[in-house]
Amino acid sequence: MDKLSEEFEKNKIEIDERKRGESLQAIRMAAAEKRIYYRPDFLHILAGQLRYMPVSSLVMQCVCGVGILLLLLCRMPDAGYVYSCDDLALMSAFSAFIGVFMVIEMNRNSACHMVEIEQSCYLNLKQLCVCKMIFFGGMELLILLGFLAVSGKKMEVGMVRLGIYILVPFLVSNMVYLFVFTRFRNLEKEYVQYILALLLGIAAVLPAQFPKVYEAANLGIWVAVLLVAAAVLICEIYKMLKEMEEREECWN
Amino acid sequence: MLELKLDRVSKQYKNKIAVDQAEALFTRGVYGLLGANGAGKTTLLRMIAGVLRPTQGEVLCNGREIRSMGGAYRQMLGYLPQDFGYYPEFTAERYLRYLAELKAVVPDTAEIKIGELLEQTGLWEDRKRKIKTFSGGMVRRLGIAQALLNEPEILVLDEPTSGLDPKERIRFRNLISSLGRKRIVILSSHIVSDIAFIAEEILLMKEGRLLIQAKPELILDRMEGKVWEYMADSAEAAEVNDRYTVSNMKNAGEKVRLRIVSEECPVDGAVPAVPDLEDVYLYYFSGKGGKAGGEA
Repeated sequence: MDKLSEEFEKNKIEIDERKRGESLQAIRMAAAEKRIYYRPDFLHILAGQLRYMPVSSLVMQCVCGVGILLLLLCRMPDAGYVYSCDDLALMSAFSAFIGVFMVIEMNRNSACHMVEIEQSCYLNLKQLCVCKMIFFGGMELLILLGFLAVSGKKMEVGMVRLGIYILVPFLVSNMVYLFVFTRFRNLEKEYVQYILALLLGIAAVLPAQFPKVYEAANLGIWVAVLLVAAAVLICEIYKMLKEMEEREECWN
Repeated sequence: MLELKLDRVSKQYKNKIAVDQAEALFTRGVYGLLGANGAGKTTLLRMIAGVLRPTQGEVLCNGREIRSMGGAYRQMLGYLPQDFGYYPEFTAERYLRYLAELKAVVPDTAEIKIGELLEQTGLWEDRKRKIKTFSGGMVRRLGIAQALLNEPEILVLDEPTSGLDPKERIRFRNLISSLGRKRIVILSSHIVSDIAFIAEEILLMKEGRLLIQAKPELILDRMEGKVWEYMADSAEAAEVNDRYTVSNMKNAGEKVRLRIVSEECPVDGAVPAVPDLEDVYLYYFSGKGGKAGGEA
């Protein structure tokens, strides 16, 4: 042991305290200059955005959805009640109308000239848009699920077919809203979107005037329309998000 | 050391070239982009801010193309656009909180930073007021505050002083000067005095091209012998004004004192004067007697 200590002492490196201090100081300065960036996770981003969503849009959407649900519940005073085509028309009209709130919200930053500033932020325009679609789209789908839960078992057509019948106006209307939103910039005004929503709501009622449309024999057509609308909508969303990355016309 | 480089950056819209092969290098300091309206300043700043994609060339940050850096670049950036927007229903405080979220400012420090910036921009008393009730100058100050929220390493300010009164402009110029010590600050203006006071380097831009990037002293040195003063009677003053670029006319009793920008002595009796940046601006941008073609 003593021999080892002796060897150690013999080979000990002399430390220049001044140089050591200088090196440490240089390291400290370099560390102080280094910025540590905060990268919020997806849930934090969503929670953060929720605080800044306009309450009016969310409340209106909820009021509409809950209102229709209550209306449906009121129409079944006894357990033997079977929902009719009129109820289906009501749900279809609502499904077509409800998507308007999302488009109006997505249009808000452009209407307020916030696009350029938001595009330059860490969480940019595209990501903001995705957040809004998750909130509004998620809530809309929840309300439609509510419809299914309330009336699905009390309808002759059954839950799956009812789901298809109310998803078709929902997807087709969203397809139209997005098309107008991305292609006709001069039609972005809120009232234009509301008029469009009313027209789509009325159009969604029309099939109920011809009850044969809802017969099982025509289910294939409904499924085909549903798939086409879903495919077009996905393409539109993809294209819109891609264009947002390179969006230039909004500030030129 | 942070370095931002424009590598032959161009932007073309159909038949119009807004920015043509711009090359520049920025390190820490304040850079003033000077040019007439429509010179391409805003387009160039938008490309630096990453909100516009160049048709040709690249904007590089420490050697990396900024678009490929994505959020990492945007987190280093503070940007005040010329057309500054806001949600009118938001209060100043809520607006800054909202943008702090978008800029991913650490939540614990965001509130402190917002308070500091509201103080610095003189908006603390009005922090609870809706932005739609603000004057143009207050909105501009709020724009400056939002650009500084994330303590950006690269600060891009497009016409930051437009709409500010003289007192606010002076305060703001001093603020920018202090910011330039730690970061790259690039600001555009067509107000020559703003640039003259704070820019450590000046970039002159004309018809989409960057004519010069140099220190003000160097640019002024190049102007030696191109600025003249001359006392004329009113009839002769009008004639000289028609023929040459006159940067100033001031009545002095019966006569008029003219300040003329010209390559050569414009009239017998004119004496050389010490050039300033307004003379430089006129020399490059007036197109009359000066550098009409705009070549560097």
